[in-house]
Amino acid sequence: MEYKNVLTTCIYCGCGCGLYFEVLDGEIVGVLPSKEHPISRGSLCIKGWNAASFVNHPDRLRTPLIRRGDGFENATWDEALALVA
Amino acid sequence: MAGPDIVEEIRAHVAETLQNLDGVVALRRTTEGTAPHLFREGDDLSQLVLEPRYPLASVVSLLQKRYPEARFGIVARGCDARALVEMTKRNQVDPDRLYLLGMACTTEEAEECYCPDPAPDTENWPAAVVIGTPVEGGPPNPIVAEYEKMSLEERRAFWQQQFLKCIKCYGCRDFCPECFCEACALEDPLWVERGVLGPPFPMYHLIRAMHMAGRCVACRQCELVCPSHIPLTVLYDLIRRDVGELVGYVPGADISAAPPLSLTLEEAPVRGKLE
Repeated sequence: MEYKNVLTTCIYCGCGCGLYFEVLDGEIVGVLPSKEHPISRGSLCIKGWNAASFVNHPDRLRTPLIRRGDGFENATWDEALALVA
Repeated sequence: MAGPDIVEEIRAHVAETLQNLDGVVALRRTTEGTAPHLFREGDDLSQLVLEPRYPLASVVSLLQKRYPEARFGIVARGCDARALVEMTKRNQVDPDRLYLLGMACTTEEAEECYCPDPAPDTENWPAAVVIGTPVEGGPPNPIVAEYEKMSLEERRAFWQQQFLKCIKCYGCRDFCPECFCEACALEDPLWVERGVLGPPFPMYHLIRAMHMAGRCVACRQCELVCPSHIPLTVLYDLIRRDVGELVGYVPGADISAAPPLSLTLEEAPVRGKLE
């Protein structure tokens, strides 16, 4: 049983608003604005308010992809870097 | 700002009650900043602070739903306690599994928030303690008085100008302790087209205002997080007043009073008249 808030910076644009991820038992369950953040001072835009939703989204890329034929295949970083470097 | 004595007294009380509770929801200040936290036995209570305000009632609701057997405490101001009253009536909070460790806000805080009731009401929370000396409610929001002097055309122009600033972040809804519906009218394409700025005037804000009838407990959190500084609580203060005059209901005031929108007109006859 653990509920805490972890401070981070919104990743969406250059403003760099401060927000907390609400973490319940190791899982991100929501977003709270940081009221003490010098840039955003407790406010967020719609992207910041929804910043938690992509973290565990099934469409999120978790590995590099290499195009083979008509599709993409999961690859390791070593494979991907070897291909482009 | 609450004095250091109050903070120390609350920390001592939390330390004591943690022996019988699964945790206490309060604010924690670390080098990162201040945010809601679930304090558990053995945690460093010197990190427990009382501001800035966050809607802690929403955290209690989240935790109670995840742990249906657990007993939690909350360090609650008057606004948190009022929010918990309305959430209780809508099955978002179980008061029997909640220990309310109340604190009285200072006169300065009550004035700053235009707070109607700056300490938890122990009639609603018989097991609660309230630390600090309760003070009188703050003065009403002066913008409400200014607004009431306006003609209908001026009022429309006032809101048009205010709502023009809206960036449709949904922060007023997301931060509101009384906004917990899984399906929200503000995401229904019938009313609000998604992905388009600005919000439909005046429906976006008026839908939310109507849904606050009998619910808004005047915590002002919506206004504080609004990136565009829209004086949202002017709207909700007026709705609160109308609900009070029409059906004699004050949200957050009485945990045993049924919300008017859950009753028929026979059960809750309209006794006032709108101008």
